[in-house]
Amino acid sequence: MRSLLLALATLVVALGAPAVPAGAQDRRDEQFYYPGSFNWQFLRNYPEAARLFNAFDYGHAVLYERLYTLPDSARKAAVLEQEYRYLTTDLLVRPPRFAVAEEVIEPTYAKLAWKAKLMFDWAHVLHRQLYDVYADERIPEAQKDARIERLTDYYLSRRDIAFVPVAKSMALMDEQYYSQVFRRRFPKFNGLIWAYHWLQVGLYEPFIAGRTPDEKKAGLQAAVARFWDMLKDPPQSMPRVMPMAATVAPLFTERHPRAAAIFDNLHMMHDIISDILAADTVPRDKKRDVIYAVLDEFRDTTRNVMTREDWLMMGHHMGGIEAMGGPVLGLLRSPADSAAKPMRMPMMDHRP
Amino acid sequence: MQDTPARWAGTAVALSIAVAAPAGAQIDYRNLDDDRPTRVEDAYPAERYAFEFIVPYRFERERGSAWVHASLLELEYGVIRNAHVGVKAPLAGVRDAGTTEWGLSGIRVFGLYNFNTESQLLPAFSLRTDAVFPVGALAGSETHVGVQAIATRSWARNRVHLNAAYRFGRDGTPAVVEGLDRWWYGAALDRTLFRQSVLVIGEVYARRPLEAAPVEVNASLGLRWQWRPTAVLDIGISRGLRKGLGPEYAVTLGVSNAFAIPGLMPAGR
Repeated sequence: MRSLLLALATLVVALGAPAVPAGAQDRRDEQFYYPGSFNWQFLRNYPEAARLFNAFDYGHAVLYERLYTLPDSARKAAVLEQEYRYLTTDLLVRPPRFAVAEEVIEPTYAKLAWKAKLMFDWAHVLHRQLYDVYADERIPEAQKDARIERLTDYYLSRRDIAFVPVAKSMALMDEQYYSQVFRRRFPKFNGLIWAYHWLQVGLYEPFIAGRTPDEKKAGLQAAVARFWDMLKDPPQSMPRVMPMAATVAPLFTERHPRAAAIFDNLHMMHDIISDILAADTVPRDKKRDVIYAVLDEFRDTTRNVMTREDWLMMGHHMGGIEAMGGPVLGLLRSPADSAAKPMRMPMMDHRP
Repeated sequence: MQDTPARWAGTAVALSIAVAAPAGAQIDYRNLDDDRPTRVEDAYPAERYAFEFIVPYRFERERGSAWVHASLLELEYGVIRNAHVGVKAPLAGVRDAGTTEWGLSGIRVFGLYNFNTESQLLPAFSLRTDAVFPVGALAGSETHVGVQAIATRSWARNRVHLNAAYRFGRDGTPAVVEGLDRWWYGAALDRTLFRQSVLVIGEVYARRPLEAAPVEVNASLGLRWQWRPTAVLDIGISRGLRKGLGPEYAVTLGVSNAFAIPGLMPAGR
């Protein structure tokens, strides 16, 4: 028995002996989402859009994994091009039924910066639950706003991993020594990420503006179709600046400014991590520390915070809605046209 | 009485499916619970505030003519961050020498504490403690306590899990199912098929059920599949690798469902 246990102990040590030095150990710290019958209504009622987000998760994850594990720029560019093609011609076209286990796609990155992954997961759960509330026709419209605020409260109860509900300064994203590296080197993949973010915040608008379930569905389909249009002639057809909630989703932002700010912060953080991982100016052995320092910044309401007025005007300063991918509402043709020619949903056609 | 465990298991499966609506995380298929479908489990606990209700069924053909049916109902709860506690109530039926006996095979309570998530240097480590109480017609004669160390390490889409366990105290009469072995250790390898939400698992483990018993070496293969956003189906087969020891074959299948109770969640604001 003793020799067997010794062999087992040796195996355990062997499992934990790869070359890269580790920083401090992270705890797992996962928490269940807020329960309720509204959960999963988005997937149930709007599977074509809900499943698309599962593919988005893959896109974010594989990007970080490749940026971190492939230090050589030429190789990195070639692999990201392959991943872009895989995403836009396969995975987004036939997205998975359920969420992608991101640890599987980004195993090295997840070990490097678990807390960043945890913060993203927690904010993505909020995203998904808000869609679920809007997609649940059993909840009276008048009660949906309160439900969303309740979910935002629950999200914020995890202060250790929640993005603050006030907009952080864009300088955190655009004016650091590593800023804008990713978008300059990989404009097409960056445009894809911004197209994701356009849809992720924009999708709230047809839910709010739609007066009937049919109107909401048509609005959602139009938004998804617009997302596909963005991929037709990349990167020219893609957003040129980061889509911001107040500009792309003004109805949602007016009703739920805390959630809108959380999502802007989340999307900024996505871009910041891409820059940190891509930038040669951040040494490989410092990337975790730099990422964690920015995570601390995004959990702090006392520094680098925009005023509400500046935040609402920021989209205008950045080039307006057209630079961010265009408006979400008003994409539909006349109802008669829509009835005559149902919109084609690429991911439902099971072909590229 | 003969069909009672099957009926209980059927009722429990139906109950699990019925409570499926308000729950779960869509990647629960990667959470390896012990016996679901392999004995080796991963080092990660249930999420804080999550309940997991597991309804498994196992058929085991022993060497010789005996067979065992068992349904090991289990409830887990993420009681604090990075830890869960749980209870198992194994219902079993044993047929040997022409007679069949049904009954509860003890009550097991357990807790698992996870020390760290996997990093670039270290695997994830957890420590688990089990206590089995002699309750029911097919239970053992003693109260037993055991400890188990668990490690999980991943490479791309694959993970390796190592488990090693030791039970304290005298043997007494063993339980028919779900007794604590004197010691056992094993390793499992799994691979995630992320587009299908499927986990494929294989394991090998060695066990000495009692101090004076010979050491069994058994192997298992299994699948876990995310059936609904909140529910996972699992299926597995196992076989003893040493002549005359371990099961001739065993088949297990189960359904697990995650959920939470709003009254137990933090209020926020």
